[in-house]
Amino acid sequence: MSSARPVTGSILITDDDPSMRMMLRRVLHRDGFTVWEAEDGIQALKFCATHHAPDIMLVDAMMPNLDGFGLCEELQRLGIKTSILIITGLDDEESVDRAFKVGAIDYVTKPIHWPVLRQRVKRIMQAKELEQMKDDLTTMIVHDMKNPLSTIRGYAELMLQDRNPDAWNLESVSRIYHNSVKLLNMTMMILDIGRLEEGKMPLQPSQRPVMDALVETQQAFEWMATDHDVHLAVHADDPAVAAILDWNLITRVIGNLVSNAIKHSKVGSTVIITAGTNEECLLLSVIDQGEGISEEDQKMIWNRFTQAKLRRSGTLLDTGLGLTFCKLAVETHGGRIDLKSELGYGSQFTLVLPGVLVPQAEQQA
Amino acid sequence: LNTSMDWDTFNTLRATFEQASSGEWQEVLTELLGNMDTVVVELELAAQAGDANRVRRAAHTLKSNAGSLGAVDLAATCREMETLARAESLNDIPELIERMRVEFDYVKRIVSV
Repeated sequence: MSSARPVTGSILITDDDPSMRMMLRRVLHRDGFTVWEAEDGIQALKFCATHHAPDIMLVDAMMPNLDGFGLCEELQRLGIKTSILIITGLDDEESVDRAFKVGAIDYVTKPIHWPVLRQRVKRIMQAKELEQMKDDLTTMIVHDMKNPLSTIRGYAELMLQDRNPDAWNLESVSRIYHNSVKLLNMTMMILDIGRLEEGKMPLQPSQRPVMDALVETQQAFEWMATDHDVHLAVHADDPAVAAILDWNLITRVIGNLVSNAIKHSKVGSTVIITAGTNEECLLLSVIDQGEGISEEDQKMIWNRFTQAKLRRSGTLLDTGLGLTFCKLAVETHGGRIDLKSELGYGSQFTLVLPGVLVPQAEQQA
Repeated sequence: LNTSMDWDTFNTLRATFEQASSGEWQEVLTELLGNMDTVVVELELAAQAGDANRVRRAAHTLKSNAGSLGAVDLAATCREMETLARAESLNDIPELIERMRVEFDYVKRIVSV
């Protein structure tokens, strides 16, 4: 998760002391949270019954009517999911044990050390957000696997009913093949991201003319470009330039970017794959004239856990795992991907790969 | 009177609110001391009524507020009252309320500087 992105969420303060509620409200509201207040456990339960359960509940251990522990027990009994942070007196260690037993996930002691409280609340909120994003990603992946699987099953069923191999038309077999390739690619992508993150994918570098790789990618995506009525062009400042890279990985990265560019391009527009050099770096760019990516979304596109949000907003048309893969694959080469994008005008993704260029003299040798 | 203050606690509290705007700390302090005045009145009324439970609750709140300000002695006096009230022993409460009043006045003066 990007640390620059503000953490938001809702918090219910439950404390019978108006001064404590006032101070907590001011501090947490200033930190960007939506804050509500309840004077005791009963009010807090009523709040949960009439509103959504808050992300976090800050609960004073000692309150009249229904105290903090009773409130936690009731919340558990009612199946209300919220993260409870108990506030307890310094002289009350027993309360801490009790708090954890009734489901609190953390505690702070009075007098409150304000910087600690703010950090703790922020950390809990980030953990909740990450958990939600992981759930969203899992749902998204399962959803994306369901469509090709259904297609494969449908065509296989038709063929089974027919039982006459001569009648199996090429179209059915071709659809089964393409959908199984799609599933296999998704599976490989998920496995590769895991390996790249753990540093368990050793690079297999080899020397190759850059133009060769670009033309190969162009040819591989020509059918897709035609389908979307998009032109696909290749340009190299110096067609003779060669580089030492794990070309299998890098062509997959460029392929991912080209595939995204085509999907987001306007009909009749052009996607260009370019190669250039800058100081000691090889620069490979994929440029489209599509709808572009907003500044806010640009911060999120590389993180696989924020992809679900982007797909809902329409920035991504698939799981978006491809971009996470691209970033990791390029970083494994010691490089980075720069993104320039403007809404309405298009995007330019540039792979900046240092120390991979082969000097002309060596190429000739 | 030599009432001890935990200045680290006080300064952290002040910095937390001054960080937002120069006026916020004054608002917080005024509201906090005002709320404490109200609790002191409740404590006295509860003691006069001989209601140990109300005394305990008021002393508990005052202890917490004093702790927030870093007013160590004031918090200790309130804790003493809370403990006695929990044991339903209210004999020494009037004397402790007197001490608490003096300590609270001192704290109000010193933190408002």
